[in-house]
Amino acid sequence: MIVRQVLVNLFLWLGVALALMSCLGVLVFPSAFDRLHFAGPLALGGVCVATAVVIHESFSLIGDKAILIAAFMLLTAPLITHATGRAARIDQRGDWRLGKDEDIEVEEP
Amino acid sequence: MSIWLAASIALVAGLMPCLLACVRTDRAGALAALNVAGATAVLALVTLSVAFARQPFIDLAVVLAALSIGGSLAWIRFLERQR
Repeated sequence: MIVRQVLVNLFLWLGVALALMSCLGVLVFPSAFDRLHFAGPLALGGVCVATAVVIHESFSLIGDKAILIAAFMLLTAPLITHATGRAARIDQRGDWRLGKDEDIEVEEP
Repeated sequence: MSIWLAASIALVAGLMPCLLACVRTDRAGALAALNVAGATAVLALVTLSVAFARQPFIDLAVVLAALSIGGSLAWIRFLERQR
């Protein structure tokens, strides 16, 4: 019982810490492309919180839905990050593709 | 106060930096902050449903998770078209 409580505490506060660090990172970093990096740790925080819920409540209604939410966050975080980055680039430059004035080396396939 | 309620309060407090970031930056940066705020609100609802021992409340978190992604994709579409 004590081990279970310790694990719940550990995973819950790890998830909350990851979420809070992501929120603070969004505030601290100025550029949209810098801010996009924080969707990943936040999805990991969601997995930690869902793990804490499952340990606390077992596989009940709430436990199963917590797993569903964590899986949904893990699947959609890269998608939304990619789409936001693409939109930010279109907003800034008019096109998401590499411009001729940009000095970035790209490997040709 | 249970640990779940404390975690909920911490997560809701985490929405404030996202709000500040939305206000202080350009449109694309605000959109990135909105994504993070949506996911944080989902986690806050999950912990609140455990804190109040009301299992059906977690449906709110499930619905918000889906709607938050849909809303963000809609804003992304607007941002791409507005150019």
